Amino acid sequence: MDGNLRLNHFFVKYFEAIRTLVAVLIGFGVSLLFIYFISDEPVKAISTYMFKPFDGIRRIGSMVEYMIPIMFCGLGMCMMMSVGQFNLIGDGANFLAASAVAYISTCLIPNCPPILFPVILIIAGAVIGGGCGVIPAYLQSKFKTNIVVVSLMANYILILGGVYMLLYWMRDPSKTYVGSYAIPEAAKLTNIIPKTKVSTGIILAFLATIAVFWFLYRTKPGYQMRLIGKNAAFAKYSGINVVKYAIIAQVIGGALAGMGGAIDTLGKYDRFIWLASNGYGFDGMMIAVIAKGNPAYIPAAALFLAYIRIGADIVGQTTDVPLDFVLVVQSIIVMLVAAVSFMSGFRQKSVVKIANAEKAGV
Amino acid sequence: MINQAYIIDFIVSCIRLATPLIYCTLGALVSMHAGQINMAMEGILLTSGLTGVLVSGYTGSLWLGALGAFAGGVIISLIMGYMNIVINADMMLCGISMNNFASGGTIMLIYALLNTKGSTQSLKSLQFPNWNIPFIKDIPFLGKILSGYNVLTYLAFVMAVVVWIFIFRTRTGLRIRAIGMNPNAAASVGINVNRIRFQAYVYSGIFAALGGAFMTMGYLSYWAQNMMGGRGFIGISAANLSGGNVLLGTLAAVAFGATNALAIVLQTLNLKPELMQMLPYIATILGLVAISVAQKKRDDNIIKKAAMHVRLEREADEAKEAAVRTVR
Repeated sequence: MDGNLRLNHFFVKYFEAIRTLVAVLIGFGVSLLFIYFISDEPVKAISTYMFKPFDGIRRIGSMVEYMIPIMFCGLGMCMMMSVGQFNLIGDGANFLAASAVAYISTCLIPNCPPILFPVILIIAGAVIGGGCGVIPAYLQSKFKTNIVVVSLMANYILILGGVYMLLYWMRDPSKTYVGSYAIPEAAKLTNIIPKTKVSTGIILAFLATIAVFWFLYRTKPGYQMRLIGKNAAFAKYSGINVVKYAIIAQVIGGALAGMGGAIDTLGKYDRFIWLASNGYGFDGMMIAVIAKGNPAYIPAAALFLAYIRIGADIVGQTTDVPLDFVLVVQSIIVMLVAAVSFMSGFRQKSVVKIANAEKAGV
Repeated sequence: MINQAYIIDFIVSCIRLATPLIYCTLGALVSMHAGQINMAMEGILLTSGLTGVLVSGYTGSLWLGALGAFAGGVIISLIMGYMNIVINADMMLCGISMNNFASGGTIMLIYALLNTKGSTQSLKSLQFPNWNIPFIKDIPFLGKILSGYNVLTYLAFVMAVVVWIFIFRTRTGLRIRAIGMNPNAAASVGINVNRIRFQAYVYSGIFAALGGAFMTMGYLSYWAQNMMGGRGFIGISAANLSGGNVLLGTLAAVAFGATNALAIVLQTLNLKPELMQMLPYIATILGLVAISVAQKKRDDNIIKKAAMHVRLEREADEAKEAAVRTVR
């Protein structure tokens, strides 16, 4: 087998991974182009964007901090995608859970023993997130409503609800800015890297990744859910309760997003201060798409997104470029990764070459 | 407190707030008839609103501004069409990504051109005028309800008729409906399905672009970051509610406009604005549920009728056979 043919074999075998990589690189290249054309000092801005996220423990820490909530939201989205539902409630679930957890810890039960307190709060976040996840799932299975539209509309409602809680239930009137009362120290997650805000949340995020992977790929209900996602009709005729498992998967998905919100709030902030969506839910969608719905790839995808996000953040703070270009980059990557026919021509050529070589060999 | 002036104000603000929703609904209807869901509506609104403002501001011409808005809508539609049709990315994913693309891209664009972040208030752009209809404006009650809107509001209702004619009375419209009903059958009679799909995206972009133009060159006089607040999605929902019927779609859009207006009125009555702002979204979800219940009932009725028909036929046959047997 000559080298060229071996290359073709390699290309066909790892086609999906290569394609994802190319999509990501194209997206990254586009972001560099954007900065180049918009900035007055392109070289400085580009080097800031590419290298500053690794400059010092604080910056690396902020990448890790960013990974925590989006990993949870991404895992939640993996659950949604496993049953083939594009339920985008993660954004609202994450936000409402974060707000509710802040409310519970500051106003409802401010005196609670340390270790137990964050556990209760994270469970509360999961319950709230799961409750949010059930709305679009139930409406979709019962009434066949478009799940994307319903979940997006529900997101607006949930986010307004979270903001309402902040403004009227837990706002600290002694502060000039809008913010909740201070979250009690006992409720906060332990910091594990000094000088940063990286909390035990990152450990929980990796544990959750393992748990979701194990659940989806090593248990019976997980297999049933993936079967529903691949072919709902087949799953139905093989005796799986499609409606039940689809809803359960989406409740778990919402719960994961809710946990992400709770852990983010308890690990990173002194007060709840958000007046608009922080966009973690859509970041989660993006990394779930890049990971092709497989929880095993979520940490890598999250790290990449955290890298370009934090890079964009630093660019936005230190140079003249607005950080919103990263949205454009994200959407290009998502579309290219999702595009079935993207680069399929190359694959076809390789397959033909391999086939011809085999024919010649015979 | 509820007097005539109050009612007039309410109706006027219903119609005004419904205008962008009507355009979105029309755009969504076109793509719906082609069997697609154009989720990028929100992005089309944002982009067309911005390009309209920019072109009118730079050229000083309202007509060029309108063309700019069309161009913005068409660009988003073309990218969406390329991603969805040429390289086969999932339709929903494309739409959501295009919305993100638009919300980031518009901010980049104004930064590159105006050096500001978040809004175009620094640029002096033009607005479409309000139209006081002669004679009708002097009628006591009706005059205030019918006259004095932005020209784009009147155009919205005209466009509803245009879209109806376009979908149901033109060759392109027929083809769009054909590929929506059964793409394979349409392809078998020689229709280029992908080209028509592309066209459907572009037309839906054009109709929705007028909504964007209204938002930035009629309702407000500038473009601001994330100003559309889900109007695109509400338009898509209105199109879903209508089941493809243009008149019903327009009415649904007006109804959603009314919930918007109601939210604003209730806020002035000292109710919490955050709760009131939820109203249009809640109404949208409830509307989607209601229409699906109604559709299910209709389908059940059809099945029931069909079953009854079959039974009656069988009974008639049996009676006939029995009659034949007795004759023997």
